[in-house]
Order: sequence, then C-alpha cells, then structure tokens
Amino acid sequence: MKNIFLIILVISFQIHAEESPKKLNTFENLQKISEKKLNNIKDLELIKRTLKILIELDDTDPSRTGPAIMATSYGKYEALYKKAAKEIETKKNKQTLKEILQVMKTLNESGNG
Amino acid sequence: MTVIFTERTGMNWIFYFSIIVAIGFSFSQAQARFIKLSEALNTKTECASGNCGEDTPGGLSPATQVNNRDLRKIANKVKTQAQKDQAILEKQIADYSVSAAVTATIKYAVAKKKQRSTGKCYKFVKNALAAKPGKPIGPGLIPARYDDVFALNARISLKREEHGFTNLLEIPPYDKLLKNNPSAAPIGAVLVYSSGTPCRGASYIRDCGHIEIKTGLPGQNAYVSDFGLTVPISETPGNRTARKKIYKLVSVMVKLGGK
Repeated sequence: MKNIFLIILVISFQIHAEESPKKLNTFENLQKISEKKLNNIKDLELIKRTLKILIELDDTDPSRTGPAIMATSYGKYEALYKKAAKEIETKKNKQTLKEILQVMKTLNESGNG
Repeated sequence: MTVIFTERTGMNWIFYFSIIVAIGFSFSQAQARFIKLSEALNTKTECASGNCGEDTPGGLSPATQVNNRDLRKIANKVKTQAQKDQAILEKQIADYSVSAAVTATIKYAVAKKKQRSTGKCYKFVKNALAAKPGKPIGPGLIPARYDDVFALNARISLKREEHGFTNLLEIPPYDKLLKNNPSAAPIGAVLVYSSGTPCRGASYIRDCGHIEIKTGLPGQNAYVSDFGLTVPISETPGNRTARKKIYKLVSVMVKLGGK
C-alpha cells in the first residue's frame, strides 16, 4: 500500500514537472529573455518578437510590467533594441513603441522615483 | 492416555484462566486511567468557564483562590485595553481616509495620472503626497517631495520621522487582514509592492518595486500611481497567472493620529 502511494506520488510529480514549463505566462517568458545574454546579430529576431509582444501587451496592461521586466536588458543592449524597433516600426505602432522604449530607458537610468 | 489428557486439559484451563485474569486486570487499570483523565478534563472545562474549583469545599486554598481572582482581573483588564486600542486605531484609520490631506492627495493623483505607465510611479506618488489641501488650507501628507530612486524604498522613507507614516502590515490585526490583500486597505493608503524587477539609479537596484495610492473603491480607478488601475497591481491577470508572483504587497502605509 505504502509503495503504491509512493509510486503515485512520484508519477504525479513527474507529470507536474513536465507540464509546468508550458504554463509559463507572458511575464515569465519575458523574465527569461531579460536574463539572457544577447548576441547583437543572432538575437535580433528574438528582440523583434519581444518588442511585438510588448506592443500587444500595451493594450491590455497599462502598468507596462513587460517593459519594466525588460529594462535592464535594454540598458545592456540598447543598440540591439533600437535596431529591432526600427525594423518593426509601422505608422500604427510608432508612438507605442517610442513610449515602451522610453519606459525601459527611464527605469534603467533613473529608477521609478 | 487418560492421565495425560487430564493433565493437558488442566494445564490448558489454568493457562486460559490466567489470560482472562490478565485481560480483566488491564481493563480495570485502563478504566481507572480513563476515569482519572475524564476528571482532569472536567476540571479544565470548569476552569475555562471561570470556575476553577473555588466553590469545591476543600478544593483550593484561600491564597490560590485570591491569586486566581487577581489573574482573572488582570486578564480582563488587558482584554479591555486591547479592545480600546483597537477601537482607537480603527477611528484613526477612518479619520485618515477622510482627512483634508488625503482628499488633496487623491484629487491630485487622479488629475495627474496618465493613460499608461511612464515608469515613474514613485515620482507621481511623492508629488501627490506632497499636495496641499486648498480648503481647508493645511499641510499635505508629507512636507515636500523628497529624493528617492526606487519605489520599494518607500517602505522605509515614508516611515521616517518627518513623514510619519505607519505600516499597517506591522500592526495586529491588520498584519493578517491585509497580508496579500491590498483590496482591504483603507482609502488613502499608500501601497508598496516588491516587483523583483531590477532598475538602475546611480547604482544597480535588484528590486525596484511599485507604489500606488488607494484612491477609491475597487472597480473605479481605485489604484493610482502614474497611471490608474481598477484593481491592485498584484491582482492584475498577468500577476495572478504567474507561478512566481511579480508584485507582492510589502507595506500598507497610513498616517495615524493626525501626525
């Protein structure tokens, strides 16, 4: 009986451990990217995708937690972010993109105070 | 054969008899213990109801009875004092929420907030706290805007003597009532969160935090910093669905006693 219970416990733990990474929400994914060491050439596409996500989030999240998460990464790779922003800029997203970059810059240079 | 059989049966009989006696003995012992325990429990119950055996003739000595009475008196006094303190605290919090300074702060914060965050929540909150009421003319919640780089530090800065705020999360029963429950904070409370997101002033700050003022009832633009939210930032969908929460409430600051 004890062994059966232990086996069930181990199996359920394994299932949980396998499923958990799939359940990461957008902020958690952004956190992962923000901690990543970036390459100015190889990671251009990743940052373009990230900026697109931040633009999409902007409609639903007025707290701009996404840009806040990415602020230090922006500080380290400012040129890469600016290049990526230029490449995805459209008439429609220009203003939002500008504001997002500004939030990241502010947080990285002078905190939120 | 007959002799052996009789001897064996005799032995068996003695064996069974001794077992029955042993069981009977242990049963009577257990019963005695059970009775003793029940008596002890009854005494405890009586004590809990305030009668600790004083009425029992020959139960407690007169000195013990006097001691018990004194202890009860002290316990009642402490309880009454705690209730009084709680009532005073509740009144102080209610007074804070409707004070002219808080009204001015809320008015300023709501008027100045932007549509979305500009990354300057703390700056906006400090400005709002320094707003002075026009009618009746009086001081703001803080004498003037002060320099501080990151919002999480407000839990220390606002407690400084010149600002005079108190963290309700350090006072019972609010420590339990408000823990992870910013919606229950009083109107005008300054809510400080840890955010786990780094920022940079003169140096690298590991946890920049977030700060907002509770300006109204949930559902309205009730939580304002440099932008407004209808729910506390820790209860936004993005934060709620994250396995490791981004925003955690660390301070609920109010000014008590018209300081």
